[in-house]
Amino acid sequence: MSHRHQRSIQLLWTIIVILALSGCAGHVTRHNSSSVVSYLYPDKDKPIEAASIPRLSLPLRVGVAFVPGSSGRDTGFTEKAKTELLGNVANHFKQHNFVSSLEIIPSVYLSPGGSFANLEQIRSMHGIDVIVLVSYDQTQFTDEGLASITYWTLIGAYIIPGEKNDTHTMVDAVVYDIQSRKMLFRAPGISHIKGHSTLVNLSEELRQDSLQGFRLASDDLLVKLDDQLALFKQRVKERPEEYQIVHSPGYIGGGNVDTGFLMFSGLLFGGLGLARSRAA
Amino acid sequence: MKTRWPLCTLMVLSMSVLASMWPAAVEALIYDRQAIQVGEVWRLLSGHLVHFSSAHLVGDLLVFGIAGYLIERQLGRQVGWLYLAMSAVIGLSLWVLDPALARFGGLSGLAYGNVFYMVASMAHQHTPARPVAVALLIVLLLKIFRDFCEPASVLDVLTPQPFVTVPLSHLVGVLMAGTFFIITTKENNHVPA
Repeated sequence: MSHRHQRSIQLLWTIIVILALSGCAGHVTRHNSSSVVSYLYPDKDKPIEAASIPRLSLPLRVGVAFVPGSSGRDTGFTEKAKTELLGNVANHFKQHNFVSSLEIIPSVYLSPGGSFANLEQIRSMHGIDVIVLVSYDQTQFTDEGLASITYWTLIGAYIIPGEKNDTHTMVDAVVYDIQSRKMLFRAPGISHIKGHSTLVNLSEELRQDSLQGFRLASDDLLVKLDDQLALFKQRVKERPEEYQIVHSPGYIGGGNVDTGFLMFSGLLFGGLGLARSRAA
Repeated sequence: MKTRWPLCTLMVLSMSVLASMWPAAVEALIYDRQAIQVGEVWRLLSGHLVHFSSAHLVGDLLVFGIAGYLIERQLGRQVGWLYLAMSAVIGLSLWVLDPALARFGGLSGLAYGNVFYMVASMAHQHTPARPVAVALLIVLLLKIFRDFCEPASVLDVLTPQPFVTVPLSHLVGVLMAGTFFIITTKENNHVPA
């Protein structure tokens, strides 16, 4: 066998080994998600019923729940983390006077593809008017860069960090009026984590990134919720034909002098005082 | 009879301050639909003396007090009847027209009534300021009408205050003050034979 032929075989083997190793450990994608669309509209062929005009009875009774999703692999988004997120969203809504009560709905009450029929059941069981459906979508990419190839071919598994892990997370909150089936508003929270780890702690690192991704996306969600809520209030004021607002029985009312009337009265009293001082 | 000291107005002001400072008084005086149903009818009148926050109290008393002082100088002790009539008719209107309202407090219905009475008196007088007064009267009526009709008033619940503003109380206060103004003006214009 000629020297040239030997070199060709060596090169071929090297390529095969690299490709094989890439196939084993490279380009792994972890994907976990739950979808509001799949939950509310599971039958794609069925025509979607048009939403009617929502009749919001203030203050509102609100429920918060996670929509059922794909059973994730080993992610950091545990039931504890989900409960923590729901608690944060609930606390955020509780601060507003237009919310009279807030109920965290356990996941077991939401059946996959349950649609509005399931929401109607929840409405009756928990006595809520409006529900905040929280869904998520997380993708973790494990791309092998040049460093990892070097690691496999030359040095050793424990020395050079080679894995580059990107974690993209979106946590989405959609607020629905159950009776009218109308979406009132939605707010997305997103995060992007770039991570590096050796193969030794890859799994643990991915879990940590996953959890951190959900935490960051949840924080972003709470900020966006405020923005969207402000826009929703504005929309209700501007388009009264699209939203009917009434008071729930038992509301507390007050005779209140608002800023406009205060200014009107101030100008009136000021003008009178001025006129009298000139007359005197 | 004209009086130097606006005693009726001062009395309402002091009662409002006392009622808002003393929690037991708040519970005894507030408009409470359930309590009224079981016979505590004084709450239809006394609910106006109760306020839910310092800002609520100060805003209401400021406008009511100044306008009240000015019209009491004009009407004398007769203003007491105006206050009584406005309180009673507002309370009854809330009872009949807003059954969802469980609790109510605040003097703004009377404050709106006082200001309306004041502006109506100015518009009635033949002075150079008459066109301005008529314009103010129109602006005031438009504001009350807008508050009453627009859902924005309902959306007060979305603002950080512990109650919902009830524009009905303002509308009824103004209607009552208008009626009182017509009656008193006719009485004053009546020349005995």
